[in-house]
Amino acid sequence: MALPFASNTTCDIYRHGNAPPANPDVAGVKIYFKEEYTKGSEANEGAASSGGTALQSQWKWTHIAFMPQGTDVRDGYTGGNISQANADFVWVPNKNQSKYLVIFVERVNRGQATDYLRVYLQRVIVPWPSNEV
Amino acid sequence: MATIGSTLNSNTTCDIYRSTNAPPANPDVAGVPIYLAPDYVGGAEHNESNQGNAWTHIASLAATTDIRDGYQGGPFLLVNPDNVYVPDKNGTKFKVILVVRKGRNTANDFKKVYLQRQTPTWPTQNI
Repeated sequence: MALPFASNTTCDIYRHGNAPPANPDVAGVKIYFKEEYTKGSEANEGAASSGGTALQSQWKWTHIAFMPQGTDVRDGYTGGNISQANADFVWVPNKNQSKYLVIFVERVNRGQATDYLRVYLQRVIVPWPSNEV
Repeated sequence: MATIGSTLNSNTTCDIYRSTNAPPANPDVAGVPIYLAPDYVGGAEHNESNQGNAWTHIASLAATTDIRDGYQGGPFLLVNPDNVYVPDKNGTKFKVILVVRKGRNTANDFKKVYLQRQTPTWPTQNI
């Protein structure tokens, strides 16, 4: 299925426990990538105040990636909680650049021509200087 | 594909289980056509102080479907809510957060069900 937008970069996907310089579990995925720090912060401000910075950092997303339906990308959401120990990491545009934690994966437009995955990401590591932010 | 209300076509199916029942047993309600839509942002935004009760998806299904939530009013405490499995009992589990009826006694009469996705068996596209 096609993305609703033309891809603007790529990513490598790693299972938790796997990391560069090893080969990714899923390599060279064409994605549409955008920042969403404001919405990710707005939707998690209460969690931050009630649970402190650790909980805030657990839930907040900073970016969104649209990936083709069928991509094997996995979150650590367990139903009302997040197990970061089971979440994938996404490196944009490849394993040599910026690292993002997968917060949540959802399928959009199920069964339609523009059936794709929306992946909520939290930026983790950027090798400065960088434009991959 | 089935029509839900007067405007939606189903995009998948689900099996519904009472809280005391679970796969591999037979579901309490089997093969229900639903329109399943993701809503992670909506659930997060409206449950900022308690992400544990946030919904992640919304399902629309026929108004006559026997599906039950565990909402007890006031402070959010779910008591014996149903679980649904998409597309069937071998798929992904979602907990029922709340059931409401939309378009009551109109041509567009259906149930809107707020769901919270549970841990799936990866890899899967039933998300």
